[in-house]
Amino acid sequence: MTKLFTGRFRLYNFIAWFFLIIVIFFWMYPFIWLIFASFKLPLDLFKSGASLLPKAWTIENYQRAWVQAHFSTYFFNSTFYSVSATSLSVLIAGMSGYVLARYQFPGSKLLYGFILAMLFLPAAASAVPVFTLMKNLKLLNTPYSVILAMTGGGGFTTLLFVGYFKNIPHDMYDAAIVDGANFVQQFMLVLPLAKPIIATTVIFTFMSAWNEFFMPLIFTLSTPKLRTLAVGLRAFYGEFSFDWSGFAAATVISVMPIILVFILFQDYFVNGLSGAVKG
Amino acid sequence: MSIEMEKISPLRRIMQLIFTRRRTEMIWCYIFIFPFVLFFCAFTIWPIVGTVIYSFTHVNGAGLIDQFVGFKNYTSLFSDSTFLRSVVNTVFFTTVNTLIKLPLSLFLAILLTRHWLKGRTFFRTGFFLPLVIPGAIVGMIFTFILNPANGALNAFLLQLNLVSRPINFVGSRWLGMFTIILVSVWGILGQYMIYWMAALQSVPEEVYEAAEIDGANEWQKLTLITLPIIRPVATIILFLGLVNGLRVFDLVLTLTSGGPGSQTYVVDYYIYARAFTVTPPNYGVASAASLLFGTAALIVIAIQGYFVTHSQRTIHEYGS
Repeated sequence: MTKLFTGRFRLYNFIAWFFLIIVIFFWMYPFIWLIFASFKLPLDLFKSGASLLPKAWTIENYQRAWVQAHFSTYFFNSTFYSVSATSLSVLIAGMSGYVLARYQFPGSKLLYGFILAMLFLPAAASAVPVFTLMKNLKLLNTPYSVILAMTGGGGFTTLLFVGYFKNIPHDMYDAAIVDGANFVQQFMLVLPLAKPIIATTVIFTFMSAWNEFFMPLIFTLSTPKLRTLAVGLRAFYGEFSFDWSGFAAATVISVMPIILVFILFQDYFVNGLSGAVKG
Repeated sequence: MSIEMEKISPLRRIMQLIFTRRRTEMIWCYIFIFPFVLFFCAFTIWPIVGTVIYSFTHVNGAGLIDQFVGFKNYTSLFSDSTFLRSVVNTVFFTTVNTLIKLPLSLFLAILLTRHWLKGRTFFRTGFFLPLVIPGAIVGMIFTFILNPANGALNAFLLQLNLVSRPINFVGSRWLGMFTIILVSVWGILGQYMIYWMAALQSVPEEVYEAAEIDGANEWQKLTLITLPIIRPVATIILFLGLVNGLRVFDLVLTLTSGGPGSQTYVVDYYIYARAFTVTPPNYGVASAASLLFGTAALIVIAIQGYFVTHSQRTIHEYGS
């Protein structure tokens, strides 16, 4: 271990640092610029170009974005949609994965085959049929359409749960049955055991729901109060294109919470994402 | 009589119990599977079926099918130069984007997994951060930074006298495409670094120790051990990269809106424009476009799948 930071390796370390510090500065520059811009006076920002520090600090931009531009509402919406879609997703995939792994019933094999087959089909740009479906169900311009679409088909997450529940030893169920647990109680008993899969599902669904732009955009076109942060930001850009510092503040409001969540739970994110290639 | 009843009844009771328990179980199974079936049909099956149906029909503004039109939607696609340009742009984006993001993320993943590098977590976090920002917001942030009037990048270039007047980074087709490609790399690079890091972790430590004893240097370890071992995973990563590239949309909408004119249209943007920005919406043509392109993507996946199995077989034959 001591060998690691002497001689050759120490030299490597410094060369790499030299390179990485420059790169990471430019990589993070958009964030840094954005944060400083959100504290600048509108006119100051308009003239300041690439420079970072504001001439005078102000938090008026945040007040404007949060109250007048309704980013408090958009923030609530984004969180509400993503959390709802994620909970639905875990519940649905957990339930279906459980019965598909443990029971055979008429149609179960067929369904399993269907899910597998659909995994290999790329989700064709599915916006049009989903849009007409929502339209015919009269769900356009309601929060439900956005939440349902964000939840999605759930084939992949169901398979994750199937794989996990298949490996749970039978003794566990037998013990529960002897204790007189009914169907739902047995399910509630094993669901917490699937914690790693639940974590993966939560991260996948939450990330894709939080990043989803298209569905909320076209489903809430005539209902501004249902906009998500990204959709609201785009509308802001269209309506107040002169208010750069307000836009910067609105953007910081939109991205900072998720960045904090990411920094806190980075390991879960990384594990969740690497699941895609570990297979 | 009563004695006989008592003799039979325990067995029958058990039979009954098993039978009814089995039936209750079955009912519960269907209750548990029902929500999934509903969502699966609505958001996985229906989009595919619906796209096929719509692509052969004329759909009215209410989303209801008017009439069957045969291949008319497809023929009008092929005579639409905007669609052809969208396809070319999408393929261009996917190719160049993949060519940049995969090697770059591999390089950074290797660098940031070296034991001798201090502060790895800090640098990793930095590169991963853009990942959690929605693509649309990434696009809007860069709209500001790249703005020709007073954006940060132009101001920087002007100060250094690298350019004499501001560049409009989305002012023409190829420059616009390159801008979208580079912004996309910024947003997504972390994800591919995570993929590569997962692949690198799968290489057993003992192999390196053995190589060190044989006197291999860092470069030899990389080219002779690491890269060959992670090759099967590399094909999966390549596949993920290509599929991800083919679906580019958010950045196009926020950076260029397909402009100037329709010069930077990509396929998903074309679909969006035909279905949701014109009145009456043209669902038929939009669906034909997504079906055609979906099929093309499927072919890419099939070819990719062949290579994955092929390389896995190679690994299997040579043992690893």
